[in-house]
Parts: sequence; structure tokens; C-alpha cells
Amino acid sequence: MNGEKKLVVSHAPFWHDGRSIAARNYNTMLAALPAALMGLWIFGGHALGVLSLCIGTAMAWELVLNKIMRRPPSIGNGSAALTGMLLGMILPASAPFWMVIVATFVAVVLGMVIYGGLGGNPFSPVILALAVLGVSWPLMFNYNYMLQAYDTGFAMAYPLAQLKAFGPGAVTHFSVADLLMGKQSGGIGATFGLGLIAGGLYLIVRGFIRWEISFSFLVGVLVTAWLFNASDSSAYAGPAIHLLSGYTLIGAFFLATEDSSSPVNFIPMLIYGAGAGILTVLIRNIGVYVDGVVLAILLMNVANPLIDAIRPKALGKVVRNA
Amino acid sequence: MIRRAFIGQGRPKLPYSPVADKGAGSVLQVPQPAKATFFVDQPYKDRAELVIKEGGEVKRGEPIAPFADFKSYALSSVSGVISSIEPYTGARGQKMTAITVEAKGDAWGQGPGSTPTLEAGLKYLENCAGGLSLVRAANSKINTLLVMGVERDLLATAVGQVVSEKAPSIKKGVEALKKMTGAQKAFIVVPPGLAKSAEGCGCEVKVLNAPYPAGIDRLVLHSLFSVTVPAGGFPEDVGFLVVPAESAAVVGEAFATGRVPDEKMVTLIGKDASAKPLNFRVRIGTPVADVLKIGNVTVNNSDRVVLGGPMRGKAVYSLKMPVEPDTDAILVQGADDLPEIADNSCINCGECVRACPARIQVNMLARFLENAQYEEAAARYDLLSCVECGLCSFVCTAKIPIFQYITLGKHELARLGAEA
Ligand code: SF4
Ligand code: SF4
Repeated sequence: MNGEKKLVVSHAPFWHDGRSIAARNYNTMLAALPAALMGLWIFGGHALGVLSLCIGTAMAWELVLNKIMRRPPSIGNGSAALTGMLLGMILPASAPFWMVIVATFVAVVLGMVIYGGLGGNPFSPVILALAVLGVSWPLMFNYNYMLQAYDTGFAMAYPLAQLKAFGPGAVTHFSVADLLMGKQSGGIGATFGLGLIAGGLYLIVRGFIRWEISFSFLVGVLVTAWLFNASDSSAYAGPAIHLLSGYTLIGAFFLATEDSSSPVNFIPMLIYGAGAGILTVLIRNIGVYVDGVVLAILLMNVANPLIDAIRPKALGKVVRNA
Repeated sequence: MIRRAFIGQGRPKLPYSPVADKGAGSVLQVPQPAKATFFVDQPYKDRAELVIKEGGEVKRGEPIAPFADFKSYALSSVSGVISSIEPYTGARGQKMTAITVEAKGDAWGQGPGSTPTLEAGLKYLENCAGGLSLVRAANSKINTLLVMGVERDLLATAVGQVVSEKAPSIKKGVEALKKMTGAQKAFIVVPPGLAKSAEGCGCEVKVLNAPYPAGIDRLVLHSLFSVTVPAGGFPEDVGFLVVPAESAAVVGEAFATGRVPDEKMVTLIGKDASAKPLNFRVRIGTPVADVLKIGNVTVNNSDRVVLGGPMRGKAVYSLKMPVEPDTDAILVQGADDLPEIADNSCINCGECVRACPARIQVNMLARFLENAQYEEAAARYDLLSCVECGLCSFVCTAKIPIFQYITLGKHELARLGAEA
């Protein structure tokens, strides 16, 4: 040995399984890509504009905030890009540019950064932005209105709006296959059911989202819709339409599963998911809103800390009786 | 490094290195070092308190107690003269005393005699090879011995090697320890490959066929014995004395020969992950550099050298650092192999919660520890239930050094407790 070597010292463990925030976010974007691409195919150049502007401004907001707060730039981890992408997938293709900028501002700045950044946010940033937008400019989410100028080669209608206005009779012409293939009106990346399901399954298999949340959300939607339908099929649509239209699928796989605002324990995940699913259908069927996903997830976000307090007893925990 | 598989559901799957009965591998001998260093778990504050001196003589197997109260001591593994006595701060901030002995000759010192008593054990066997501790057992009622024939960490095979070659000594050690502690029952826990060797150990055999971290003592007690050690407590509190297999063998040989064996089985894991790790017989106190030399492992600047395994070991800053009584492995990592850690905040992905064998809400715990709220962390988020497996850091998406926060938190709590 010639002299002392300079060794690297750190605390155990000396292995890491290679997970990273960036991999998680980029894989989620990859999973969302098929549905987004289908949206671009159907809605064309405008959709591309909205989506790009969403991703671009979301990243820009984060960069600006990083600069203001003198933090090292964090946009490399992809969370702003992912937030922008999911937001873009939900907006109508005709969303005006100012709305996009407001939306990403709300999502990134009010939804994420002011809570100390990624991980501190009590609400899903995308959901928060949508809720703010929906309350401020309700017309923007009336897809029948927003997308009336489109000629897509198929009957362009927003199933949930038809349902609300005219009852289940008005949506019988939507076949399951059409809904799965995106032949409906809706957010840019929210209509291609098959793509969303494929993306969701990818995320579940790779372990990037917690399957318990998606699963219980969908079960919640299905069971509640089925119960309504069974009680009065002339007033309430069947489960398929609830499952495959609006934001149900993108909500189940991409929004409700947002890490920071959802629980991590098994039973709480089931309660959280099922709760959001049930609320979704309740709001659609008896509430005033056309779609209930955003509000349902927002409400469950609020309840999350409470629900996630249901946890297993730690090993050797001594229960002290006061 | 073990990467996560494409399919990412479920807990990390980290099997222990397989070990087998007989001929688990050849064992290389590391020669007696020129200098050996030992740590005594007592702070060195003032020279005046010392009862040993530089230049004083020690013999093999003899306790070296630097302070008059004889509260803790180290067992010398060489015969020679003390060349230095210095304060030393352990990896977790423990204040200790380091004693270096220059080897001269090969004389054995006084041993524990041939009658196994707790007094003899406390005086001659504390912290012998394997890391046995009898201090708590002396103040508790022990009914069961739990001999640990499973590895303490991944990649190591040292414990398996000892069990496969030293069953008769382990058997004697178990008999002695039963007499010393008054325990009526004794169990040995081994991986499936060692079930046959274990039969010769004079204990009831329990086979543990589960991946890491199932072999950690508290988890073994929980899964195989349905006994739960209270958070912040010790196995002795529930009547179990946990005996590392190597220590059992040492105890057996000590009372049979009157000399406390001073060698340790150490697995050397080099940078080449595909090469089979080898076992070495090393005097405790031998500088790591000596072992690396015999094992033909070169270390460069910016590499990392770890005493112990990849999940629970401790990195050393110098190759002069000695092999300690509980050093089952030496792991060398090349500069390209080092995982990064980051100062991200927790994104609440929940991976740590899934991975934690102690069912701790690690995501919440991490938040409290990051803000140095140690008492809160213990009271509300089960800091003291942690069995120190390191899996939470291993899986953390944000690459937070959670395990480091945890050991720091435990250390700080203990310090606060001692001051109060
Ligand atoms: S080190 Fe981490 S994973 Fe292991 S027991 Fe402790 S908290 Fe749980
Ligand atoms: S693994 Fe890391 S980022 Fe994920 S919840 Fe645990 S501490 Fe937070």
C-alpha cells in the first residue's frame, strides 16, 4: 500500500435498487403517451398546441420558481412535465392559451411549489388546477360547446353531458368499442379508453402506481353505477358508460394515484379509491356537475391524512394506556 | 448492485447468499498482524483515568480494560505491547477508546478456566468473535438461547462457514451458556442449506427459508417463535439470549481449552460481483488492508470499503481500520458502483412502507427525522420499532438516506435519555 487511499464514506445501505423520481415520472408520461397521441390524431393541430403549451409552461413555472427561491433547478425530474402533460390531456383541444397558462400556474405554483414542492402537496396538482378552472370558467369544460367546431368523422358528443341533459336514452348509441377507441368527445387525452387502460396496466406492472387505488376506484365507479342503474334504468345509465367516459379512466390510473395526495397503506388505499369512485358516480347522477371525478378526488385528497392514519401496528409497539 | 426487476410490485427480493453443509468453501488464513487495534466502548476523557499504559504487555485472548471500573474491555488477539491509547469516535458518534497493540511473540494469556459461570463469561467473553454480549443477560431472566446460524447481511457466508465446520464447538458452547444463564431451551436458526450441520449443535433446529431481512434477530423471534420484542427493548427482555453462532463456538472452545479464540471468520467481497466471495480466518483487530492483501483486492481512491454487508455495514475511511468482533464481511465497492443519495424531500410513493419488515410508516417517520424531531418520531411513528435492515433507504424513490436518519435519531434519543 503506497500511502493512504481516499475512501468514500457514507451510511448503509450501500446498495440502491435504482428507483428514482425521474424514472417514475418519465414512465408515467410514457404510459400516458398512447392516449395523448390518439388525442392528437383525433383533434389535430390545436390539441398539439395545447399539450405542448401545457408541458412547456408547467416546466417554465417551476424553473421560474426555482430561480426565485434560489433552489437548484428541479425540472429535470420530470414532475412539472408530467403535471403539464396530464393537465393538457384533460383540457379541451380548443382551450385558449391564457387558460393553459393559468392552469399550469395553479397546478405547479399553487398545487406544488408553495407546499414545499413535490411531496408536500395535499392535493393532486392537476386535480386542483382543474377544480379551479372548472369553477372559474365552467363553459371550458363543456366539451360539446368547446368542441362543436370539430369535424372528426364520427358523432362528436360528450357522453356525460348528453347523459345529464337528456338521460340514459341519449347515450345508448355509444358502443363500448367506440368509447374504448376514443370515438367520443372529451379532454384531449381522456377519450381513448384502451390507451389509458394499457398505460395504467403498464404502470401497475412496473410498480409506478399503487394498484390498490386504481382498482378500488374502478370498482367503486362500477358498483355504484350498477346500483343506480338497477334501481332505475330509465333515469341512470349503466356502468359501462360511467367507466369509459369523462375522466374515469385517466382519473383512476393517472390522477387519483398521485403520490403525495393519496394514502400508502393497504386498507386506506382501498377506502380512498373506492370513496373517490363512489363519489364520482354520486356527483354525476345526483349532483349538479356533469363529471364528478375532479371533485371526488379532491374530496378524497382532503380526507387522505385522516384515512391514512389507519395503519398496522408497528413491530413491538408498546401501547400505553393513559 | 441488485437492481429492481422490470416487474415492480411487491417487496424487494434479496436472497441471502446460499451456504451449504461441509465444504461451503475453502478458508484462507490471514497471518498475525504487526499491529492490532481494538475498540473499547467507553469514552476516553482523561489520561489520569487510564489503568493501562503505552508499553504495557498484553497476551492473546486476554481482556484489556483501560479503566478501573472494568465496565468494558477488548479481547486482545495478539501478544505484545500496547503502542497507543486514543479516544475514538464511532461511525454513529459513539465515544470510545482505541487501543493498539504491537505484536511480539505468540503467548496466550489467562483464560476463563474450565467451569462455565456467568462471572467468567462477563470477565473473559464479552464481545468475543461474533459479538456476544452477556451484560444484559446478567440482569434478566433468560430461559431460551437463540443461536443465530443465519447471516447478518447479504453476500456474507461467514456465519454459514462457521456453522458448517464448528458444530461440535457450538454444541459445547450451548451447553456452557445454558449453565451460565440458566436457560433451559436452546434453538439454532439456520438457512435450509445448513440443516444437517445444525443437527450437531445440540439445539433444536429451526430452518429459516426466507429472503433478507428475515434473519435479523427480532424478525426471527417474531416469525419463528411468535415472540415480539417491545420497541426500544431487547431480546433479553422477553427471556431470549441471542447468541451469534460464531460466539457459541468461541464459548465452547474457551471453556474446553482455557483460551478464548481470537480469530474471526470474515467474508471478503471484492469489486467483481461475479467472483465468488471467499472466507478468511482473521485475528480480530487486524487492519482491513491486511485482509485485502491476502485476498488480492486492490483499492483505489474514491472506492468504498465497508465492514459488514451492503445493507447494514459501515463504511470506513481508512484501510488501517481493524476487523471488529462482529465484522462478518468486508465489502469493497468501486467508484462506479456507488449509489447516489439526494436531498430530495419524500414524494410519498410508499415504497418504504411496503418494504419495511417492522411495519413502520417510514414516509411519515422520514418527515419527522428530517426535521430532527426525534421524540415525536419515537412516540408517534415508531422509530424504536426499527430493526435496522436498511430496506427503506434501499427502495427510496427520492433516494433519501432514511436509514442514516434513523440511526442518527436513535443515537440522539439515547443521548437525550442519558442526559435526562
Ligand atoms: S431500516 Fe427502514 S425498512 Fe428496515 S426496519 Fe428500519 S424503518 Fe423499517
Ligand atoms: S420511499 Fe422515499 S420517497 Fe417513497 S415514501 Fe418512502 S421516504 Fe418517501
